[in-house]
Amino acid sequence: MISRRKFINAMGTGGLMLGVDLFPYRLFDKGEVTKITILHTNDVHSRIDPFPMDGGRNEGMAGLAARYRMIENIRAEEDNVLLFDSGDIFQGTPYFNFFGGEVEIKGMSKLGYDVATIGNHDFDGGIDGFVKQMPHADFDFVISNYDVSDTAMAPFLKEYVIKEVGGIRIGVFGLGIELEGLVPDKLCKGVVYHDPVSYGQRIATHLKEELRCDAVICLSHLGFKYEEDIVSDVVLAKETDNIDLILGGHTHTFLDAMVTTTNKSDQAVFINQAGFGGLMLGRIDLYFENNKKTKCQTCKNLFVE
Amino acid sequence: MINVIRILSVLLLPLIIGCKTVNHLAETENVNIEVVTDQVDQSMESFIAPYRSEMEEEMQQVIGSNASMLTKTRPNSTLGNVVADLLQDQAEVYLNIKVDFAVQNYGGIRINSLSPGPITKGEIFELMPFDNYLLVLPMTKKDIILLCDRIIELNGWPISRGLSIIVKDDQVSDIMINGLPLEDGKIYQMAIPDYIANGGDSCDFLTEIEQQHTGKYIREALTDRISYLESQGKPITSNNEQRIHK
Repeated sequence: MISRRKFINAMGTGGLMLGVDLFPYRLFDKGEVTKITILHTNDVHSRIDPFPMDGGRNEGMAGLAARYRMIENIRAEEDNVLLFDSGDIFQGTPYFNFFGGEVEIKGMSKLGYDVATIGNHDFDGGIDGFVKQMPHADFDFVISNYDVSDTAMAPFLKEYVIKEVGGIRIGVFGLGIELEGLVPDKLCKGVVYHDPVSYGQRIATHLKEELRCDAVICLSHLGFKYEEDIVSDVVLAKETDNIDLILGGHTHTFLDAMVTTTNKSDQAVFINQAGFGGLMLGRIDLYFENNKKTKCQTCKNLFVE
Repeated sequence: MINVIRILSVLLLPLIIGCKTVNHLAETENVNIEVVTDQVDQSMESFIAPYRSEMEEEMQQVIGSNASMLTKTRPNSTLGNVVADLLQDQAEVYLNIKVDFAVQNYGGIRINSLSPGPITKGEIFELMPFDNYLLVLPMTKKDIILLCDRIIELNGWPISRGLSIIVKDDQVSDIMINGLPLEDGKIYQMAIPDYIANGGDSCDFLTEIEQQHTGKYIREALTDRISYLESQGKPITSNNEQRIHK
Protein backbone atom coordinates (compact mmCIF):
# COMPACT_ATOMS: atom_id res chain seq x y z
CA MET A 1 0.00 0.00 0.00
CA ILE A 2 1.43 3.32 -0.99
CA SER A 3 0.28 5.55 1.78
CA ARG A 4 0.35 9.33 1.80
CA ARG A 5 1.99 9.79 -1.55
CA LYS A 6 0.00 7.74 -3.91
CA PHE A 7 1.77 7.18 -7.17
CA ILE A 8 0.09 7.46 -10.45
CA ASN A 9 1.14 3.96 -11.06
CA ALA A 10 0.41 3.59 -14.71
CA MET A 11 0.02 -0.15 -14.82
CA GLY A 12 -3.03 0.07 -17.03
CA THR A 13 -4.52 2.28 -19.66
CA GLY A 14 -6.18 4.45 -17.06
CA GLY A 15 -2.85 5.27 -15.55
CA LEU A 16 -1.34 5.83 -18.94
CA MET A 17 -3.94 8.38 -19.91
CA LEU A 18 -3.77 10.10 -16.57
CA GLY A 19 -0.01 10.29 -16.75
CA VAL A 20 0.02 11.78 -20.21
CA ASP A 21 -2.54 14.36 -19.24
CA LEU A 22 -0.69 15.47 -16.18
CA PHE A 23 2.85 15.54 -17.39
CA PRO A 24 3.92 19.08 -18.19
CA TYR A 25 5.40 18.70 -21.61
CA ARG A 26 6.47 22.31 -21.75
CA LEU A 27 9.62 21.17 -20.05
CA PHE A 28 10.54 19.15 -23.09
CA ASP A 29 10.08 22.17 -25.33
CA LYS A 30 12.49 24.17 -23.24
CA GLY A 31 15.03 21.41 -23.36
CA GLU A 32 15.13 21.16 -19.59
CA VAL A 33 14.54 17.48 -19.64
CA THR A 34 17.19 14.88 -20.41
CA LYS A 35 16.19 11.43 -21.58
CA ILE A 36 18.36 8.42 -20.82
CA THR A 37 17.44 5.13 -22.47
CA ILE A 38 18.31 2.00 -20.50
CA LEU A 39 18.35 -1.31 -22.38
CA HIS A 40 18.89 -4.57 -20.56
CA THR A 41 18.99 -8.34 -20.73
CA ASN A 42 19.49 -11.17 -18.23
CA ASP A 43 20.04 -14.92 -18.24
CA VAL A 44 21.01 -14.96 -21.90
CA HIS A 45 22.64 -18.35 -21.22
CA SER A 46 24.90 -18.59 -24.26
CA ARG A 47 21.98 -18.02 -26.65
CA ILE A 48 24.15 -16.86 -29.52
CA ASP A 49 21.87 -18.14 -32.29
CA PRO A 50 18.07 -17.95 -32.29
CA PHE A 51 16.27 -20.78 -30.48
CA PRO A 52 16.33 -23.87 -32.73
CA MET A 53 13.42 -24.62 -35.06
CA ASP A 54 12.26 -27.63 -33.08
CA GLY A 55 8.58 -26.94 -32.65
CA GLY A 56 9.19 -25.42 -29.22
CA ARG A 57 7.48 -22.23 -28.19
CA ASN A 58 10.57 -20.05 -28.63
CA GLU A 59 11.71 -21.42 -31.97
CA GLY A 60 13.34 -18.89 -34.26
CA MET A 61 13.40 -16.20 -31.58
CA ALA A 62 16.30 -14.22 -30.06
CA GLY A 63 20.00 -14.45 -30.99
CA LEU A 64 22.78 -11.87 -31.00
CA ALA A 65 22.31 -10.73 -34.60
CA ALA A 66 18.66 -9.79 -34.10
CA ARG A 67 19.33 -8.16 -30.76
CA TYR A 68 22.19 -6.13 -32.22
CA ARG A 69 19.98 -4.86 -35.02
CA MET A 70 17.29 -3.88 -32.54
CA ILE A 71 19.76 -2.09 -30.29
CA GLU A 72 21.40 -0.29 -33.20
CA ASN A 73 17.98 0.94 -34.33
CA ILE A 74 17.35 2.38 -30.87
CA ARG A 75 20.82 3.95 -30.78
CA ALA A 76 20.08 5.65 -34.09
CA GLU A 77 16.99 7.27 -32.55
CA GLU A 78 18.18 8.10 -29.07
CA ASP A 79 21.10 10.20 -27.86
CA ASN A 80 21.80 8.58 -24.52
CA VAL A 81 21.62 4.81 -24.52
CA LEU A 82 23.06 2.47 -21.89
CA LEU A 83 23.09 -1.33 -22.21
CA PHE A 84 23.23 -3.64 -19.19
CA ASP A 85 23.11 -7.35 -18.41
CA SER A 86 22.16 -8.95 -15.11
CA GLY A 87 24.14 -12.17 -15.24
CA ASP A 88 24.05 -15.82 -16.30
CA ILE A 89 25.73 -14.92 -19.53
CA PHE A 90 27.27 -18.40 -19.68
CA GLN A 91 25.90 -21.92 -20.11
CA GLY A 92 22.97 -23.28 -22.03
CA THR A 93 24.08 -23.96 -25.59
CA PRO A 94 27.05 -25.85 -27.05
CA TYR A 95 28.76 -22.51 -27.72
CA PHE A 96 29.71 -22.45 -24.05
CA ASN A 97 30.83 -26.08 -23.99
CA PHE A 98 32.96 -25.58 -27.09
CA PHE A 99 34.40 -22.12 -26.58
CA GLY A 100 34.14 -21.54 -22.83
CA GLY A 101 32.34 -18.19 -23.04
CA GLU A 102 34.49 -16.50 -25.67
CA VAL A 103 31.60 -16.04 -28.12
CA GLU A 104 29.34 -14.66 -25.38
CA ILE A 105 31.86 -12.08 -24.10
CA LYS A 106 33.15 -11.04 -27.53
CA GLY A 107 29.56 -10.81 -28.72
CA MET A 108 28.54 -8.60 -25.79
CA SER A 109 31.52 -6.33 -26.45
CA LYS A 110 30.42 -6.04 -30.07
CA LEU A 111 26.86 -5.28 -28.95
CA GLY A 112 28.32 -2.43 -26.91
CA TYR A 113 27.30 -3.50 -23.44
CA ASP A 114 28.26 -0.93 -20.81
CA VAL A 115 28.00 -2.91 -17.59
CA ALA A 116 27.08 -6.45 -16.50
CA THR A 117 26.90 -8.32 -13.24
CA ILE A 118 27.65 -12.00 -12.69
CA GLY A 119 25.18 -14.79 -12.13
CA ASN A 120 25.71 -18.19 -10.56
CA HIS A 121 26.22 -19.83 -13.95
CA ASP A 122 29.02 -17.43 -14.78
CA PHE A 123 31.02 -19.65 -12.42
CA ASP A 124 30.29 -22.78 -14.48
CA GLY A 125 33.75 -22.67 -16.02
CA GLY A 126 35.22 -21.97 -12.61
CA ILE A 127 36.97 -18.79 -11.61
CA ASP A 128 39.73 -19.49 -14.13
CA GLY A 129 37.18 -20.02 -16.88
CA PHE A 130 35.66 -16.61 -16.18
CA VAL A 131 39.01 -14.84 -15.93
CA LYS A 132 40.13 -16.41 -19.20
CA GLN A 133 37.39 -14.52 -21.06
CA MET A 134 38.07 -11.15 -19.45
CA PRO A 135 40.53 -9.96 -22.11
CA HIS A 136 37.56 -10.09 -24.53
CA ALA A 137 35.34 -7.85 -22.38
CA ASP A 138 35.15 -4.23 -23.51
CA PHE A 139 32.64 -3.52 -20.74
CA ASP A 140 32.65 -3.47 -16.95
CA PHE A 141 31.56 -6.17 -14.53
CA VAL A 142 30.15 -5.01 -11.20
CA ILE A 143 29.39 -6.95 -8.03
CA SER A 144 29.10 -5.40 -4.60
CA ASN A 145 28.24 -8.27 -2.27
CA TYR A 146 30.88 -10.82 -3.30
CA ASP A 147 34.30 -10.34 -1.82
CA VAL A 148 36.59 -11.65 -4.55
CA SER A 149 39.78 -10.02 -3.28
CA ASP A 150 41.45 -13.39 -2.66
CA THR A 151 40.64 -14.72 -6.12
CA ALA A 152 41.91 -14.26 -9.66
CA MET A 153 38.66 -12.41 -10.45
CA ALA A 154 39.63 -9.42 -8.34
CA PRO A 155 41.10 -7.25 -11.14
CA PHE A 156 38.01 -7.73 -13.32
CA LEU A 157 35.15 -6.99 -10.94
CA LYS A 158 34.27 -3.53 -9.70
CA GLU A 159 32.09 -2.55 -6.80
CA TYR A 160 30.28 0.02 -8.94
CA VAL A 161 30.74 2.21 -11.99
CA ILE A 162 29.38 5.66 -12.76
CA LYS A 163 28.21 6.30 -16.31
CA GLU A 164 27.94 9.95 -17.24
CA VAL A 165 25.65 10.39 -20.26
CA GLY A 166 23.88 13.51 -21.44
CA GLY A 167 25.12 15.29 -18.32
CA ILE A 168 23.39 12.76 -16.11
CA ARG A 169 25.34 10.65 -13.64
CA ILE A 170 24.09 7.09 -13.39
CA GLY A 171 25.56 4.91 -10.65
CA VAL A 172 25.52 1.19 -11.43
CA PHE A 173 26.28 -1.61 -9.00
CA GLY A 174 25.69 -5.36 -8.91
CA LEU A 175 24.24 -7.83 -6.41
CA GLY A 176 24.68 -11.58 -6.64
CA ILE A 177 22.81 -14.55 -5.27
CA GLU A 178 24.07 -16.74 -2.43
CA LEU A 179 26.44 -19.25 -3.99
CA GLU A 180 26.43 -21.92 -1.29
CA GLY A 181 24.28 -24.86 -2.33
CA LEU A 182 23.99 -23.40 -5.82
CA VAL A 183 27.52 -23.31 -7.18
CA PRO A 184 29.91 -26.18 -6.39
CA ASP A 185 32.60 -24.97 -3.95
CA LYS A 186 35.47 -25.81 -6.26
CA LEU A 187 34.10 -23.48 -8.96
CA CYS A 188 33.86 -20.40 -6.71
CA LYS A 189 36.62 -21.06 -4.21
CA GLY A 190 37.54 -17.96 -2.23
CA VAL A 191 34.47 -15.90 -3.18
CA VAL A 192 32.81 -14.62 -0.01
CA TYR A 193 29.10 -13.79 -0.16
CA HIS A 194 27.64 -10.93 1.86
CA ASP A 195 24.08 -9.89 2.61
CA PRO A 196 22.70 -8.11 -0.49
CA VAL A 197 20.41 -5.79 1.46
CA SER A 198 23.04 -4.24 3.73
CA TYR A 199 25.74 -4.19 1.04
CA GLY A 200 23.29 -2.84 -1.52
CA GLN A 201 22.15 -0.13 0.86
CA ARG A 202 25.69 0.95 1.66
CA ILE A 203 26.74 1.22 -1.97
CA ALA A 204 23.52 2.90 -3.13
CA THR A 205 23.80 5.57 -0.46
CA HIS A 206 27.45 6.11 -1.32
CA LEU A 207 26.56 6.54 -5.01
CA LYS A 208 23.59 8.81 -4.38
CA GLU A 209 24.84 10.99 -1.58
CA GLU A 210 28.62 11.09 -1.74
CA LEU A 211 29.20 10.54 -5.43
CA ARG A 212 26.18 12.63 -6.40
CA CYS A 213 24.63 10.22 -8.87
CA ASP A 214 21.34 11.41 -10.33
CA ALA A 215 20.04 7.87 -10.43
CA VAL A 216 21.23 4.56 -9.04
CA ILE A 217 20.70 1.29 -10.88
CA CYS A 218 21.20 -2.13 -9.36
CA LEU A 219 22.01 -5.03 -11.69
CA SER A 220 20.73 -7.94 -9.65
CA HIS A 221 20.98 -11.68 -10.01
CA LEU A 222 18.98 -12.27 -6.83
CA GLY A 223 15.74 -13.30 -8.51
CA PHE A 224 12.45 -11.40 -8.84
CA LYS A 225 10.60 -12.77 -5.82
CA TYR A 226 10.15 -15.97 -3.86
CA GLU A 227 7.47 -17.57 -1.73
CA GLU A 228 10.20 -18.53 0.71
CA ASP A 229 11.89 -16.00 2.94
CA ILE A 230 14.83 -15.39 0.61
CA VAL A 231 16.17 -12.02 -0.48
CA SER A 232 14.86 -11.07 -3.93
CA ASP A 233 14.51 -7.91 -5.98
CA VAL A 234 11.15 -7.22 -4.37
CA VAL A 235 12.66 -7.61 -0.88
CA LEU A 236 15.69 -5.51 -1.82
CA ALA A 237 13.46 -2.72 -3.13
CA LYS A 238 11.37 -2.58 0.03
CA GLU A 239 14.21 -2.81 2.54
CA THR A 240 16.60 -0.23 1.10
CA ASP A 241 16.59 3.29 -0.26
CA ASN A 242 18.61 5.29 -2.78
CA ILE A 243 18.10 2.62 -5.45
CA ASP A 244 15.91 3.87 -8.32
CA LEU A 245 15.88 0.91 -10.65
CA ILE A 246 16.55 -2.79 -10.18
CA LEU A 247 17.29 -4.76 -13.35
CA GLY A 248 16.94 -8.35 -12.29
CA GLY A 249 17.70 -11.90 -13.37
CA HIS A 250 18.02 -15.50 -12.19
CA THR A 251 14.30 -16.34 -12.02
CA HIS A 252 13.85 -15.98 -15.82
CA THR A 253 10.84 -13.79 -15.13
CA PHE A 254 8.92 -12.33 -18.05
CA LEU A 255 7.22 -9.09 -17.10
CA ASP A 256 4.75 -7.40 -19.43
CA ALA A 257 5.80 -4.21 -17.77
CA MET A 258 8.22 -3.23 -15.06
CA VAL A 259 6.92 -3.32 -11.52
CA THR A 260 6.70 -0.18 -9.42
CA THR A 261 7.05 -0.41 -5.69
CA THR A 262 8.20 1.81 -2.85
CA ASN A 263 11.34 1.67 -0.80
CA LYS A 264 11.75 2.04 2.94
CA SER A 265 11.67 5.84 2.57
CA ASP A 266 8.42 5.66 0.61
CA GLN A 267 10.06 6.58 -2.70
CA ALA A 268 9.52 4.83 -6.01
CA VAL A 269 11.62 1.85 -7.05
CA PHE A 270 11.19 0.22 -10.43
CA ILE A 271 11.96 -3.47 -10.97
CA ASN A 272 12.25 -5.08 -14.37
CA GLN A 273 13.40 -8.42 -15.76
CA ALA A 274 13.56 -9.62 -19.36
CA GLY A 275 12.83 -13.36 -19.30
CA PHE A 276 15.84 -15.37 -20.46
CA GLY A 277 17.78 -16.45 -23.53
CA GLY A 278 17.70 -12.97 -25.03
CA LEU A 279 14.02 -13.47 -25.88
CA MET A 280 13.28 -9.98 -24.60
CA LEU A 281 15.09 -6.69 -24.53
CA GLY A 282 14.02 -4.54 -21.59
CA ARG A 283 13.79 -0.83 -22.31
CA ILE A 284 13.31 1.88 -19.73
CA ASP A 285 13.51 5.55 -20.60
CA LEU A 286 14.40 7.82 -17.71
CA TYR A 287 13.47 11.50 -17.96
CA PHE A 288 15.43 13.89 -15.78
CA GLU A 289 14.27 17.39 -14.99
CA ASN A 290 17.12 19.82 -14.57
CA ASN A 291 16.60 22.82 -12.33
CA LYS A 292 18.37 24.93 -9.77
CA LYS A 293 16.14 23.85 -6.97
CA THR A 294 16.27 21.00 -4.62
CA LYS A 295 12.67 20.23 -5.39
CA CYS A 296 11.50 18.74 -8.62
CA GLN A 297 9.09 21.08 -10.38
CA THR A 298 7.38 18.54 -12.57
CA CYS A 299 7.46 15.77 -10.04
CA LYS A 300 5.07 17.53 -7.69
CA ASN A 301 2.31 17.01 -10.20
CA LEU A 302 2.95 13.35 -10.26
CA PHE A 303 1.17 12.44 -7.08
CA VAL A 304 -2.43 11.97 -6.28
CA GLU A 305 -2.79 13.62 -2.92
CA MET B 1 3.73 -7.69 -28.41
CA ILE B 2 4.73 -4.33 -27.18
CA ASN B 3 3.34 -2.96 -23.99
CA VAL B 4 4.04 0.62 -23.35
CA ILE B 5 3.53 2.01 -19.94
CA ARG B 6 4.24 5.37 -18.59
CA ILE B 7 5.11 5.76 -15.00
CA LEU B 8 5.41 8.98 -13.17
CA SER B 9 7.47 9.20 -10.13
CA VAL B 10 9.30 11.52 -7.86
CA LEU B 11 12.60 11.13 -6.23
CA LEU B 12 13.56 13.36 -3.41
CA LEU B 13 17.23 13.69 -4.04
CA PRO B 14 19.49 14.54 -1.16
CA LEU B 15 19.87 18.25 -0.78
CA ILE B 16 22.80 19.61 -2.65
CA ILE B 17 23.85 22.92 -1.27
CA GLY B 18 24.70 25.88 -3.45
CA CYS B 19 23.52 27.03 -6.82
CA LYS B 20 24.36 23.82 -8.65
CA THR B 21 21.57 22.51 -10.80
CA VAL B 22 19.92 19.26 -9.88
CA ASN B 23 18.71 16.44 -12.09
CA HIS B 24 15.51 14.97 -10.75
CA LEU B 25 14.25 11.68 -12.10
CA ALA B 26 10.81 12.89 -13.08
CA GLU B 27 9.34 10.21 -15.27
CA THR B 28 9.97 6.71 -16.51
CA GLU B 29 8.68 4.88 -19.54
CA ASN B 30 8.99 1.15 -20.11
CA VAL B 31 8.62 -1.24 -23.02
CA ASN B 32 9.75 -4.85 -22.87
CA ILE B 33 10.42 -5.79 -26.47
CA GLU B 34 10.28 -9.28 -27.90
CA VAL B 35 13.44 -10.06 -29.89
CA VAL B 36 12.14 -11.35 -33.23
CA THR B 37 14.52 -12.32 -35.98
CA ASP B 38 12.98 -10.72 -39.05
CA GLN B 39 15.89 -8.29 -39.15
CA VAL B 40 19.42 -9.31 -38.25
CA ASP B 41 22.74 -7.55 -38.25
CA GLN B 42 25.08 -9.02 -40.84
CA SER B 43 28.32 -8.06 -39.11
CA MET B 44 27.21 -9.98 -36.03
CA GLU B 45 26.27 -12.90 -38.26
CA SER B 46 29.76 -12.93 -39.76
CA PHE B 47 31.30 -12.79 -36.29
CA ILE B 48 29.31 -15.88 -35.20
CA ALA B 49 29.65 -17.88 -38.43
CA PRO B 50 33.14 -19.39 -37.92
CA TYR B 51 32.28 -20.54 -34.38
CA ARG B 52 29.02 -22.00 -35.58
CA SER B 53 30.58 -23.93 -38.43
CA GLU B 54 33.20 -25.36 -36.06
CA MET B 55 30.43 -26.88 -33.90
CA GLU B 56 27.88 -27.63 -36.53
CA GLU B 57 29.04 -30.97 -37.86
CA GLU B 58 29.13 -32.55 -34.43
CA MET B 59 25.98 -30.89 -33.13
CA GLN B 60 23.88 -31.89 -36.12
CA GLN B 61 24.70 -35.57 -35.75
CA VAL B 62 21.49 -37.55 -35.32
CA ILE B 63 21.93 -39.95 -32.41
CA GLY B 64 18.44 -41.41 -32.16
CA SER B 65 14.79 -40.56 -32.32
CA ASN B 66 11.93 -39.47 -30.13
CA ALA B 67 8.47 -40.97 -30.60
CA SER B 68 6.30 -38.16 -29.19
CA MET B 69 6.37 -34.66 -27.72
CA LEU B 70 8.04 -34.70 -24.29
CA THR B 71 7.51 -31.82 -21.90
CA LYS B 72 8.97 -30.77 -18.57
CA THR B 73 6.61 -30.03 -15.69
CA ARG B 74 6.48 -30.56 -11.91
CA PRO B 75 6.18 -32.81 -10.08
CA ASN B 76 5.93 -35.44 -12.87
CA SER B 77 6.56 -35.05 -16.57
CA THR B 78 7.11 -37.07 -19.70
CA LEU B 79 10.53 -35.50 -20.30
CA GLY B 80 11.58 -35.93 -16.67
CA ASN B 81 10.52 -39.59 -16.63
CA VAL B 82 12.42 -40.39 -19.82
CA VAL B 83 15.61 -38.63 -18.69
CA ALA B 84 15.62 -40.34 -15.27
CA ASP B 85 14.97 -43.77 -16.83
CA LEU B 86 17.78 -43.28 -19.36
CA LEU B 87 20.16 -42.40 -16.52
CA GLN B 88 19.15 -45.43 -14.44
CA ASP B 89 19.65 -47.76 -17.42
CA GLN B 90 22.94 -46.25 -18.56
CA ALA B 91 24.44 -46.16 -15.04
CA GLU B 92 23.84 -49.94 -14.90
CA VAL B 93 25.72 -50.36 -18.19
CA TYR B 94 28.68 -48.19 -17.13
CA LEU B 95 29.21 -49.82 -13.75
CA ASN B 96 27.81 -53.26 -14.51
CA ILE B 97 25.68 -53.25 -11.35
CA LYS B 98 21.97 -53.21 -10.60
CA VAL B 99 20.80 -49.60 -10.10
CA ASP B 100 17.54 -49.29 -8.16
CA PHE B 101 16.57 -45.80 -9.22
CA ALA B 102 17.84 -42.48 -10.60
CA VAL B 103 17.19 -38.90 -9.53
CA GLN B 104 17.77 -35.82 -11.71
CA ASN B 105 17.35 -32.31 -10.32
CA TYR B 106 14.60 -30.40 -12.12
CA GLY B 107 16.78 -27.35 -12.76
CA GLY B 108 19.38 -29.52 -14.49
CA ILE B 109 17.08 -30.14 -17.45
CA ARG B 110 17.38 -26.94 -19.43
CA ILE B 111 14.78 -27.36 -22.16
CA ASN B 112 11.03 -27.20 -21.70
CA SER B 113 10.21 -29.75 -24.37
CA LEU B 114 11.68 -32.22 -26.82
CA SER B 115 9.80 -32.53 -30.10
CA PRO B 116 9.15 -35.84 -31.81
CA GLY B 117 11.54 -36.88 -34.57
CA PRO B 118 15.29 -37.30 -34.92
CA ILE B 119 17.35 -36.29 -31.88
CA THR B 120 20.59 -34.42 -32.58
CA LYS B 121 23.62 -34.26 -30.35
CA GLY B 122 23.03 -30.50 -30.14
CA GLU B 123 19.61 -31.07 -28.60
CA ILE B 124 21.15 -33.19 -25.85
CA PHE B 125 23.66 -30.38 -25.20
CA GLU B 126 20.76 -27.98 -24.78
CA LEU B 127 18.86 -30.44 -22.59
CA MET B 128 21.90 -30.92 -20.35
CA PRO B 129 24.55 -28.27 -20.98
CA PHE B 130 26.24 -28.74 -17.62
CA ASP B 131 29.40 -30.76 -17.31
CA ASN B 132 27.87 -32.75 -14.47
CA TYR B 133 29.02 -36.33 -13.97
CA LEU B 134 26.82 -39.34 -13.43
CA LEU B 135 27.49 -41.04 -10.10
CA VAL B 136 25.98 -43.98 -8.25
CA LEU B 137 25.53 -43.75 -4.48
CA PRO B 138 24.72 -46.56 -2.04
CA MET B 139 21.69 -45.25 -0.16
CA THR B 140 20.20 -46.35 3.16
CA LYS B 141 16.55 -45.99 4.06
CA LYS B 142 17.43 -42.88 6.07
CA ASP B 143 19.32 -41.31 3.15
CA ILE B 144 16.43 -41.94 0.78
CA ILE B 145 13.91 -40.40 3.19
CA LEU B 146 16.05 -37.26 3.54
CA LEU B 147 16.41 -36.94 -0.24
CA CYS B 148 12.70 -37.54 -0.92
CA ASP B 149 11.81 -34.90 1.69
CA ARG B 150 14.07 -32.45 -0.12
CA ILE B 151 12.64 -33.39 -3.54
CA ILE B 152 9.11 -32.73 -2.33
CA GLU B 153 10.18 -29.54 -0.58
CA LEU B 154 11.44 -28.39 -4.00
CA ASN B 155 8.07 -29.28 -5.62
CA GLY B 156 9.25 -32.49 -7.26
CA TRP B 157 12.17 -33.65 -9.40
CA PRO B 158 12.40 -36.19 -12.21
CA ILE B 159 12.77 -39.70 -10.73
CA SER B 160 13.13 -42.99 -12.56
CA ARG B 161 10.64 -45.86 -12.64
CA GLY B 162 12.32 -47.59 -9.65
CA LEU B 163 11.18 -44.95 -7.18
CA SER B 164 7.75 -43.72 -6.19
CA ILE B 165 6.90 -41.09 -3.62
CA ILE B 166 3.48 -40.66 -2.07
CA VAL B 167 2.77 -37.17 -0.83
CA LYS B 168 0.07 -36.13 1.63
CA ASP B 169 -0.41 -32.52 2.75
CA ASP B 170 2.83 -31.52 1.02
CA GLN B 171 4.81 -34.05 3.09
CA VAL B 172 6.27 -37.39 2.05
CA SER B 173 3.97 -40.06 3.47
CA ASP B 174 5.38 -43.16 1.79
CA ILE B 175 8.30 -44.23 -0.41
CA MET B 176 8.45 -47.35 -2.55
CA ILE B 177 11.43 -48.84 -4.38
CA ASN B 178 10.40 -51.12 -7.24
CA GLY B 179 6.96 -51.39 -5.68
CA LEU B 180 8.22 -52.41 -2.24
CA PRO B 181 8.50 -50.43 0.99
CA LEU B 182 11.94 -49.28 2.14
CA GLU B 183 13.78 -51.82 4.27
CA ASP B 184 16.00 -51.10 7.25
CA GLY B 185 19.58 -52.21 6.73
CA LYS B 186 19.20 -52.55 2.96
CA ILE B 187 21.45 -50.62 0.55
CA TYR B 188 19.85 -49.20 -2.58
CA GLN B 189 21.94 -48.04 -5.55
CA MET B 190 20.96 -44.60 -6.83
CA ALA B 191 22.17 -42.85 -9.99
CA ILE B 192 22.44 -39.07 -9.56
CA PRO B 193 24.37 -36.05 -10.94
CA ASP B 194 27.55 -35.18 -9.02
CA TYR B 195 26.16 -31.65 -8.60
CA ILE B 196 23.51 -33.01 -6.21
CA ALA B 197 25.73 -35.68 -4.64
CA ASN B 198 28.19 -32.91 -3.74
CA GLY B 199 25.54 -30.95 -1.89
CA GLY B 200 23.98 -28.85 -4.68
CA ASP B 201 20.40 -27.59 -4.21
CA SER B 202 21.05 -27.85 -0.46
CA CYS B 203 21.45 -31.63 -0.44
CA ASP B 204 24.36 -31.46 2.02
CA PHE B 205 23.24 -34.72 3.64
CA LEU B 206 24.48 -36.60 0.53
CA THR B 207 28.06 -35.36 0.70
CA GLU B 208 29.26 -37.97 3.22
CA ILE B 209 28.03 -40.89 1.11
CA GLU B 210 30.61 -42.89 -0.83
CA GLN B 211 30.51 -42.15 -4.59
CA GLN B 212 30.90 -44.59 -7.44
CA HIS B 213 32.03 -42.59 -10.43
CA THR B 214 30.92 -43.55 -13.94
CA GLY B 215 33.50 -41.17 -15.43
CA LYS B 216 30.79 -39.95 -17.80
CA TYR B 217 28.89 -36.70 -18.04
CA ILE B 218 25.10 -36.86 -17.69
CA ARG B 219 24.98 -35.60 -21.27
CA GLU B 220 27.20 -38.47 -22.47
CA ALA B 221 25.08 -40.98 -20.56
CA LEU B 222 21.94 -39.69 -22.29
CA THR B 223 23.66 -39.66 -25.68
CA ASP B 224 25.06 -43.17 -25.20
CA ARG B 225 21.70 -44.56 -24.12
CA ILE B 226 19.76 -42.91 -26.94
CA SER B 227 22.37 -44.15 -29.46
CA TYR B 228 22.11 -47.67 -28.03
CA LEU B 229 18.31 -47.62 -28.34
CA GLU B 230 18.67 -46.37 -31.90
CA SER B 231 20.98 -49.30 -32.68
CA GLN B 232 18.17 -51.57 -31.43
CA GLY B 233 15.74 -49.76 -33.74
CA LYS B 234 13.96 -48.09 -30.80
CA PRO B 235 13.05 -44.46 -30.29
CA ILE B 236 12.78 -42.99 -26.81
CA THR B 237 9.14 -43.18 -25.81
CA SER B 238 6.91 -41.05 -23.67
CA ASN B 239 5.92 -42.36 -20.28
CA ASN B 240 3.26 -40.50 -18.40
CA GLU B 241 3.57 -42.45 -15.14
CA GLN B 242 2.85 -40.47 -11.98
CA ARG B 243 5.87 -41.33 -9.88
CA ILE B 244 5.21 -38.62 -7.37
CA HIS B 245 1.64 -39.17 -6.18
CA LYS B 246 -0.17 -36.24 -4.68
